[in-house]
Amino acid sequence: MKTARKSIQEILNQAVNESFGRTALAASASAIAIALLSLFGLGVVGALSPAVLCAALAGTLLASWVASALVILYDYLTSGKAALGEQER
Amino acid sequence: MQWIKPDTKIDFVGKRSYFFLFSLALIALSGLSFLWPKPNWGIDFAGGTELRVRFVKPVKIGEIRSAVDGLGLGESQIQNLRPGIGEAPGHNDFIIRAEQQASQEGKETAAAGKLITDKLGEKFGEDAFQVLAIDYVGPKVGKELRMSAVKALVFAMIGILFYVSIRFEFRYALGAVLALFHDALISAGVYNVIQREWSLAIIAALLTIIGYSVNDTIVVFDRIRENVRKARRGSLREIVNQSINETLSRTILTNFATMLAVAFLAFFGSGVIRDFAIIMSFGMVVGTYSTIYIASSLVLLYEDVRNRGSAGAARTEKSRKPLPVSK
Repeated sequence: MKTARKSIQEILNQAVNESFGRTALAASASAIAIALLSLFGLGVVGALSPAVLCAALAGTLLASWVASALVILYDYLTSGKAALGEQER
Repeated sequence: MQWIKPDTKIDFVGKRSYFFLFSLALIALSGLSFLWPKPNWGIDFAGGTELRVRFVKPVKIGEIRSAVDGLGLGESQIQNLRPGIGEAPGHNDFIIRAEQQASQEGKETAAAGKLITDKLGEKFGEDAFQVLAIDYVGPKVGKELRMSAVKALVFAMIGILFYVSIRFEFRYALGAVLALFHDALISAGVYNVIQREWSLAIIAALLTIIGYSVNDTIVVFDRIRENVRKARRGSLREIVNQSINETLSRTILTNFATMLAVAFLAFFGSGVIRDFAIIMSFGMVVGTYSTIYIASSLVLLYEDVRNRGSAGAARTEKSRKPLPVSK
């Protein structure tokens, strides 16, 4: 029995969902370590850690909501171009 | 392009005793590096006066040293800074550090900076250089900063121990924290050996290494947990090996991507950014190694020790015969 091929959107959505728990878990472990640094660190350590914490949170959000969406957008644009090329031929 | 095939079956935990020995040797050597050749403590920790000076024309380090040494400010260090990204080649930036003298605390410390600039002006001319920055750190502040860094490191590890214990089990938490300690200590040891300067930014880098390395380790542990739930047969050793193999591609891929960014900073950065990137790159290599070879093997070691303990207790219980009752 043949199954219909999944679209890239479905594949990416499934992949993001499958790895979401792991992404959140790993990011939260790092975030806890960095948050403690910002609480107890002085000088550069205290100044750097909030920035790293923001970057870790932003990175997690981007990994789940933006990065894959950009791949879909790229695929959409390139497949549109390819279709145009076919039409011109 | 796929570097690591999805069906890799490398026996990572089979030779774990050799890797434990290797890591123990590295930890011992790193510990020794704090005694010899000793860390090159920067002004943040040792205290003293630091000036960043830009000369108009090329100047030799020896000329600056001869000027500064005659001031009686204790041991001085002079470093020629290489140009950073976007800076013109052949610029003449120098960092001049004068050791903190016991008698120089307070206002006399600030005077050390003025003494150095006056002497440089006398030797090279007032218009021959420009003072970009002057920093003063007293020995008490240096000690306080060092203590705060150690405290931050310890609290970060305790936080990770608690979090991983709650989300996983204690054996995983212990494995993760010991692997992080391993990463931080070995990176610090290598940094001591190459005799780069320790500043607060380097402590921040060590802490960033911990934050980054735990991320990788957690991913492997989560896969182990998932596979333990799924597995109907097979020992923990087999499941751990399978999980490391399954996440190997991801571990190497993400570390390689981050390593590229850090390596560029190490090659093209200057000053503190370069030092930060150098220790980060050591930390990332050691962190990847510990994620693959050490962290999960520590979980197995914990399990082995616990099983041996309970088996021993069971044997003792069996062999314990009731004492003859005397009538």
